[in-house]
Amino acid sequence: MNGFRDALMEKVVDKDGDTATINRVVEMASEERWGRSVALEQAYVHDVYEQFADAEGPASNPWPKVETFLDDLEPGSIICDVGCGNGKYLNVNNTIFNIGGEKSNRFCRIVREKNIEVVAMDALQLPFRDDSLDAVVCVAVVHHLATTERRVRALRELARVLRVGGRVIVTVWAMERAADSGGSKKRRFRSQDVLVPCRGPPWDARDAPICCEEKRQHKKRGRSQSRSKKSRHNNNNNSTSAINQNIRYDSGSPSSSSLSSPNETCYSFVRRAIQKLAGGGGGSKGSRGGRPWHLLDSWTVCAKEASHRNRCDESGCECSECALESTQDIPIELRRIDDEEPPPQRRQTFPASQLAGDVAHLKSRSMQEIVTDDLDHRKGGGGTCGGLIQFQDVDSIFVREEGQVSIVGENPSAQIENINEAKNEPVIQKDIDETSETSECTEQKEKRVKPKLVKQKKSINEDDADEALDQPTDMFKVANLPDIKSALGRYNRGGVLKQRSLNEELMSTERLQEKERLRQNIQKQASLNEDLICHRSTAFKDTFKESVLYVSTTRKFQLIKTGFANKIKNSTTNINIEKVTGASLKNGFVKIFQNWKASEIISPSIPENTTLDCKSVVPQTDDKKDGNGGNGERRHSKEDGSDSSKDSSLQSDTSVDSEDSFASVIFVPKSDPMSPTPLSPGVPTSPRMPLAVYPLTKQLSSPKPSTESSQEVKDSLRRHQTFQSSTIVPASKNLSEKYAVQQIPKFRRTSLNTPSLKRSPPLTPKSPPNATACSTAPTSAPIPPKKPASPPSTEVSEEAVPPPPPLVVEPVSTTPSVPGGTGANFDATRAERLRKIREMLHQKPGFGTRSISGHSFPIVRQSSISNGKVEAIAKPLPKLLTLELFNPETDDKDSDSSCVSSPDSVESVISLNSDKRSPSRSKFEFPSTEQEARSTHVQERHPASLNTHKPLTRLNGRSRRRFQTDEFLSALGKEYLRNSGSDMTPLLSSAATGDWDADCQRHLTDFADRLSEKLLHEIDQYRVGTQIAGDEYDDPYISRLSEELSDLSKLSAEIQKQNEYLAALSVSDSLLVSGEDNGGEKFDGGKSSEGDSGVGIPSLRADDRGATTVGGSMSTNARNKGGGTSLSSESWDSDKATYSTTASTASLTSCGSDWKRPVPVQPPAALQRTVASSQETLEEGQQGQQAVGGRGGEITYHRYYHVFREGELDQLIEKYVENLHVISSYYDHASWCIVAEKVQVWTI
Amino acid sequence: MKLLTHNMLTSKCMKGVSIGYPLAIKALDIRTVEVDFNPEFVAKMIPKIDWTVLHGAAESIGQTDLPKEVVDNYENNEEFLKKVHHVLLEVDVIDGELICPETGRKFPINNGIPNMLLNEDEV
Repeated sequence: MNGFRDALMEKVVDKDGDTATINRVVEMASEERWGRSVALEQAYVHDVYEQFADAEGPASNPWPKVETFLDDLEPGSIICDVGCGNGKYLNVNNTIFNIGGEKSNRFCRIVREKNIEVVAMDALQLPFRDDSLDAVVCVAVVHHLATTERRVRALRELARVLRVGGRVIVTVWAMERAADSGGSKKRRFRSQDVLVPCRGPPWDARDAPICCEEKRQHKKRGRSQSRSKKSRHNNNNNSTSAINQNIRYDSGSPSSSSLSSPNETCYSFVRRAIQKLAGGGGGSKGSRGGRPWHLLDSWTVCAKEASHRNRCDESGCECSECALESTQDIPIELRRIDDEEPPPQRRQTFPASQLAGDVAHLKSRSMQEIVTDDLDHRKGGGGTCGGLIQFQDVDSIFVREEGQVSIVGENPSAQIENINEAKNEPVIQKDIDETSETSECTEQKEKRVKPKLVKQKKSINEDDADEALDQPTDMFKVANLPDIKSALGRYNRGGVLKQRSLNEELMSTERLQEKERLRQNIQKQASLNEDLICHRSTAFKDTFKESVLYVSTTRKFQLIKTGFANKIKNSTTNINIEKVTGASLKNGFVKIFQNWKASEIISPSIPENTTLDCKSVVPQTDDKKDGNGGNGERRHSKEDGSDSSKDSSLQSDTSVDSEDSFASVIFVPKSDPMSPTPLSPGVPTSPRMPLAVYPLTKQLSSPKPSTESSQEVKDSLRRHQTFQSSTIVPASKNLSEKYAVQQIPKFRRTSLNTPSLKRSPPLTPKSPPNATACSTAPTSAPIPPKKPASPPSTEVSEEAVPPPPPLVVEPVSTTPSVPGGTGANFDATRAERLRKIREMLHQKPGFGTRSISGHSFPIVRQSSISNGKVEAIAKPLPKLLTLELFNPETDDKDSDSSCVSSPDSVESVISLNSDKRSPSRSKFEFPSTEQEARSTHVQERHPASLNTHKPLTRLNGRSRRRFQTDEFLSALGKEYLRNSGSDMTPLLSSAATGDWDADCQRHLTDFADRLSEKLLHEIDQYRVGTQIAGDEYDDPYISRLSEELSDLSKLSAEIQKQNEYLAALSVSDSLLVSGEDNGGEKFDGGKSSEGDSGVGIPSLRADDRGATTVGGSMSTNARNKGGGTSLSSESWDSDKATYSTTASTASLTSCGSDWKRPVPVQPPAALQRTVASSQETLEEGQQGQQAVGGRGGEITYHRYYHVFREGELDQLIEKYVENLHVISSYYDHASWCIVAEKVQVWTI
Repeated sequence: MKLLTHNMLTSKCMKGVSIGYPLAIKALDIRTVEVDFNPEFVAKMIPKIDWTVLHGAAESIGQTDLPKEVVDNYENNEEFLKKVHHVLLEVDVIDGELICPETGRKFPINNGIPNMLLNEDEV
C-alpha cells in the first residue's frame, strides 16, 4: 500500500510539479508512451477487432445523422470512411465514391466482399494526398486512441486529406450519458480511459441483461464499494508496478483476459498455458493480452462493477450505447497516471495548452480520487494494509478484515455488498476471502505490515515466473511464524485465484450472469463467512483455527487449493532450494509441516493428532469405519459396488492418507523382498524401476521419505511419534515378512523376473488382507464420529472434524488393503501412521499439498493395487476396486476438508480437460506399474504400452510436480504443452529431475514402486497364466478379474450415476470437464476432487471396462496387458464414448463428490459453493468450449476506449486542428458527434 | 483497388517521404468489373483526380485508351467519359503491389485491398 501510495503521490507531485520537469519527463517518456499507446491499441483495439468472433460485425444500423451527412454530400464526392468497420456507411450514398479505410484485415475483407473499395490503413497515417477527399467519416475511431497526442494526430490527418471545404464527421463515445438520452443511465464511465468488454456473438443472445436497477444499486452501495474498487486499483497499481519491474514487455504475451488482470504475468501465464492446452482458440487472441498490462505501467485498472452494462458489446457498433448496454461485463477503467504528461507535450507542440490543462485536471481528479480512495481504504484497513496482493479480492478482504477482525472498519454489509458486486468472482472470492481472512487474522495477530505486500508481490511474480526461490526466503523471513507462512501461502494463492477471478469476472460476461444467479448462494456464503469472521474476531486463535478448519471445510477445494498453492509455493520455494541443493521435497514438506505444527499447533494439528491417536489404536479403525459410515452417502454408492470393506478401503484410498498408507504398505512389501526395512523400499524398487523410476526412487528413496515425513510429523506432533514409529516399524516388518513369503510362491508361478514375482506376492497378500480389511472396514466406518469427538480442539475441531473423518476413513481402508496378508494389526499401525500423516496433511495446507501429490499417486496405487489384486487374487480385487472408486469421492471429500486434493485436482483437471490427458492419466495410474513392469519383463510383452505408459507417468509426475510447485494453471498449461508436445522422454527426464525431487519423488517413487510391484505381480500373474497355462490359468484369473472388473464396473456405474445426479443437480455438462479447468482454478478443491475422482474413476472404469471387455474378448495376453496398461488403453478406447463421458463423469463425479462432501460438513455453504462451482464450471465450459482452458478472459474481449467528456472533442479540434472548423456538435447514440469543415488557414 | 483509389493514395506518411506520389503499380492480377456508367459522376471525378497520374497508372497496367490530356469539354464527351469510367472504376487491381516512388517501399495489394499500413518504425 505504501509503495502504491508513494507512487501515486509521486505522480500527483509530478502533476502539480513544475512543467519544466514534466516536460523533460514527457520528452523522455514520449517515445515510450507512444510505443505503449501503440501497443495498447494494438492489444485492446486492433487485435480485438481483428479477432472478434462475429465475422459479419455488429448488426448495428448506420446512424441516421451520419447517413444524413453522407446523403448531403454532392454527387461525385470522394469520401473515405476511416475505420469503416464492416462498411455500413460505404453504401449509403451510391452517388459518391466511397473508400473504406480500415486497419483490421478481417474487416477489410468483409468490406471488400461487398464490392466496396477498401484500403488497409491506419487512422494516424492516412495514405491519401493532401486535400484529396471531399468528405471523411470517422465514426467511433478516435476514442480508441490512447493518448491525446494520437487523437489529435488522427484529427489532423483527417483534416489533411480533406479538401478545403470538405467536411468530416467524427464521433466518439461520450463519457457521460446526456440527459436527453433517456432516463436509464446505463452507461456512465467513471474514468475516461476504460477497457470495455465485448462479448463474442454466440453468447450475446443468451446472456440475460443485468437489471439496471441492480447496477444502480451497485452504484448506490457507496463508499464500501468504491473503497473496494479503489483498493483494487491500488492493488493493481502495486501489483502492476511490481510486476512491471519484474516483468518486461512481452509483446507476444497472449491472453486477452490478461487485460482485465493487472497481473498479466500470472494470469497470462496460466491463461497461455490453458489456451495452449485448450488448443485453441487462443492464438491470435492470446497475442493481445500480454502487452496491455505492460503498457499500463502508469495505468491503474479499475473494474467498475457498479457500472454493469446490460448489453453485449457489438464489435462493429460504433454506438457506445449498443456496446455498453449490451455488455454485462464490467468495463475496466484505466486511469492514467501518465495522462498528465501528454498535456505538457501538447503545450509544447500545440498552441492550446488549455485543453491539456483541462485534461490534466480531469485526470488529476481521477488520480486524486484514487489516492483518496486509497487513503480511505488505508484508514479503514488500518493495520490491515498488509495484504494487497490480491487485486479485486483485496477490497473485500480488507473490508472483511476490518469489519470482521477488528469490527472497526466497514460494515459487514459492505462486505456483503462487495461480495455481491464481486458476484462475478463469488466463489473464488469467498474462498479467497476466507483464506485471506484466516490469513489476515494471523497476519493481524502477527503484524500486518508491508512485507506481506512484498511477499505477495513476490509470490505473484514467482507464480508468474515460476520462480519461487526468492519468495521462500522472503516468506520465511517475513513470517517467522508458521501461521504466517501458511497464511501467506494461502494469501498468495488467494491472490492468484482472485486475480483469476477478477479476470474471469471482468472477462466473462457469462460468468457474471452465472454469478448473478449464484448471488443468493454467494450471499449466504458471505453471511456465513461474516459470521465466522465475527466469531473469529472474538477469539483470534480459536477463530483462526476455526477459520482454517472452516475454510477448509466450507471453502473446500478453493481454500485448500489456495492453501496448497501457497504451501506448495512455499514448499516449492523450499523445494526449489532443496532441489537446487539436491535436498528432497520431503524436507520442504517436513519443514512446512513442522512450521505448521509449531506455529499452528492449533486446531489442525490437534485434531489430526487426536484423530491419529484414535486411528493409531486398533479400535480406531472401527472408529474410522464408523466415521465412514457417517459419510454414508458416499459409502453407499461405494457399497453398492462392493462390500463395506470396499467402502473403507475406498475412503482410505481417496484420502491423502491413502497415499501415504499405500506408500508405506507398498514399501513394506518391497522392502521385504528387497530389503527388510520398510524405509528402504526405494532401493529394492530401484532395480525394478525403469530408468525413469530409478532416479526418483534413488532421490526420494520413496519409502524412507514417507516414513521420514511421517516421523517428522510425529516429531512435530510428538504425541504420535511413539505410536507411529513403533507401529510403523513392526507393521512394515510384518508386512514385509508376510509379503516376502507370499511373494515367493507367486514368483515361482509367474516364473517372471524376481522383481515381478516379488511384486506379485505382495499383491496376493494384499488381497487376503483386503478381505480382512473388508471385515475391518465395516468396523472402521464409525470412526469419523469418534474423530470429531476425540479431537481435543472441540470448536475448531468440530469444524475441522468433518473433513478429517473422511481422511481417517481413507487411511483405514488403505491400511486394510495394504496390509492385506499381514493382517489388520499392521494395517492398523500403518493406517494410523498414514492417517496421522494424512490428517496432518489435510489439516495443514502444506500437508495437503503433499497429500495432494500423494493423492494422485495413491490413485495410481489404488488402480495398480486393484489391478494387482485382481491379477493376484480375484477375490480381493473387488475390494480394491471399490476402494479405488471411493477414492475419488473420498479424495474429493478430503480435498474439501483439507484442500489436500488440490494438486491432484489439478492433474485430474488437466486430464479432464483434454481427453488426451485423461487417457494419459488413466495410463498414468498404470504407467508406474508399467514402468516397473518394464524393468521386470513386461517391457518385452508390451513395450509399446509400456512406452506410452511411461510418458504418461512422466507427464503425471510432471503435473504433480508442477502442481506442487507451480500454480495449478501454470502446471496445467505446462502439462498441456508437454502433453501437446507429447514428448514422453523429456517429460520423463523432467519429471525425474524436476519438482519431483522432494516429496513428489518420494511419493511417486513409493507409489511407483508399490504400483510397479503390484502391477508386476499382476502382470506376472497374467503372464504366467497366459504363458504357462494360457487359457486354463487365465480362466480363473480372468474370471476373477472379470468378476472384479464387473464389480468395479458396477461401482463405476454407480459412481457415474451419482455423478450424473450431481451433474443434473449442478446442471453440469460434459462441458464441465472443459470448464473444470476454469473451475479448477477457482475450485481447486473441487477440481482436485474432481480430478481425483476423475482419475480414480477413469482408472477404475478403465479397469472395469478393461476387465469386462478384455475378459469378454481379450485373450489372456490382452488381459495381462489390461491388468497393467493395455487394458487401460483398451478400456479407454472402448469406453471412449464412455470415457469422453468419463472425463465428464469424472468431473461430474467430482462434482458429485463435492456435493457429497459439502453436505456432511456444511451442507448449505458447501452445496452452494459446489453448485456455484458447478454452474461456473458449466458456464465456463460453455464459454470454454472454444477454448478448453477457456476462461472468461479468452471469451471476452476488452476494447480500449477513451470516452470523451462533453466538449472535449470540440476542444481538441478547435485547439489542435486549426484548419478544421466545427460546424455542429451534438450528442447522439451516447456519442459526441462533430461535423467539421476544413477551412483555409492563412498564416501571416 | 481501382485506379481512382490509386489516384488518391500516397506514401506520404512514411518517414522521409515528402510526397510519395504517385505510387507505382505493379499489377499481377487485374480484373474488369462492370460498373454502371454515370457520366455525371465521372465528369465530377475528373477535376478531382490527377490526370497525369491516372494516365500513367493506366499505361502501367495496360490501359492505353486514355489520352494524355483531359479532353476539353469532357462533360459532354460521352465516349471520353466512358473511357475514364472504365479506367477509373472498372479496372480493378486484385493482386500486385504499390511502390513508393521515393523509398521503393512496396505496399502489397491482396484480394483487391492495398495494404497501406506502415510499421511503427516507418512512421
